[in-house]
Amino acid sequence: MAEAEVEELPKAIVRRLVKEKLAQVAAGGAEVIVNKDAMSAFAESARIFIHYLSATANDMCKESKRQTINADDVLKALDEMEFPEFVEPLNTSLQEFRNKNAARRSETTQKKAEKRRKIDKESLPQEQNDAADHGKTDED
Amino acid sequence: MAGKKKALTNPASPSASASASTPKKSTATSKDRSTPKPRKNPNPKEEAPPPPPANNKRLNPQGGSNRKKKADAGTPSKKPKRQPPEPKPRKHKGAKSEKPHRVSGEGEKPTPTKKKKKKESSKEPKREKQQASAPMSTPSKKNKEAKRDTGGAGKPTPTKRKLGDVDPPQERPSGEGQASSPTPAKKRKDKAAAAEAVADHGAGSFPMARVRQIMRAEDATIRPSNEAVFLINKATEIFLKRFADDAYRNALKDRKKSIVYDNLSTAVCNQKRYKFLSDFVPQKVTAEDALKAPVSSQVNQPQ
Repeated sequence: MAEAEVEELPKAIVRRLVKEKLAQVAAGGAEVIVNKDAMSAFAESARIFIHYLSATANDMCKESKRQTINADDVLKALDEMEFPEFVEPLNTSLQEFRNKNAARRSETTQKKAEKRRKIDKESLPQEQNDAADHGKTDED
Repeated sequence: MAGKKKALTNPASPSASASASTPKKSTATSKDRSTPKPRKNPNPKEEAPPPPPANNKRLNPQGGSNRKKKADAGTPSKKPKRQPPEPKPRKHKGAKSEKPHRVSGEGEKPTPTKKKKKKESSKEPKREKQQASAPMSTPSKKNKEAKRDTGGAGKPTPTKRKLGDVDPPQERPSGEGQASSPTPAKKRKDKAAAAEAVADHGAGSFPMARVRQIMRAEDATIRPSNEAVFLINKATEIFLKRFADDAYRNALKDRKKSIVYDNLSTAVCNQKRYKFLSDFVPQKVTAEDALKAPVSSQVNQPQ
């Protein structure tokens, strides 16, 4: 169902990114007006960029006889697409992304311990819920 | 009534098949799990008070739009789940959280509207406290909306409530409108400070699920890792900024302070790196030229 619909990037986010960049570039800080057609073209261009980049990264992935696209495939794809200046800031972002994941893993381990305690406490109410579910299924 | 039940059951089976076809995606399975519950719950509600068919027809599209909005709002909360590479415990967490929500759903049926409001306020901190429970809370929202829809007397007021409920989650991820743009940025900064990480570089601007769907829309065999999706998310952001800069320079050449479509198409034609956009952002051609050249018009039509 979802695949049939053409997925679009959120236009509000596209608009915000474009406005931020224009605010930086514009001399005197004057607001730059962007036409509706131009904003639609920006959103469409971003979507095509994702398609192009993901297809190129997928080709890199297949060349290495792997099935899962990883970060290196994306970076190599950017070189092939003639956007080499993107690689350096993306490496910086990737490092921070990985640091975030490491921090969140420790948090998830703590949450797991808490949930294990909750399971023991909620063992009785779970049985009641099962009975209620059976009642609902009978009604259906 | 029987027809409605059948209609409800029919979409349930494709969702089940979808979950079966994509077992590897834990988030997809969680979505599929959450979707059938609200479908089943409204059945008994509809039976008890027999609403007229006209009201049902009117209510159906509203429900659809609400679901879509919820889906969009739900994406930011799901990001942290996907980042840790441990799908199995995620599923367990989801299974555990399902039962208490069902209990709360049952409790809500007899209670009046005032109590419902209180419960809504109480649930919000729950979402904030536990990110894992966020997707499970969405079906309860749907249940509430269904109840409001059944109340025919208060038609206008429930719509306002729905709008009020939907607006805050929308603002947070997307930052709609120019006026509201600074506030979500501040919120994000605060969250980043709390997480002790720079949000500007550590998080992508676009929803990760949306980027992943766009990647898989063209070639379903693509299997990206979370890091790859994040990099493509970030690369798209940088690309948009670069493209906006080039378009602005073209606007300056024309001595104008606003960006129009022609500035983008000119940038695409002038630079080689934007060649892949030539079919999607073409130069505008007048109708007369298109008619004079029938072959070129055929080429233009798919564009």
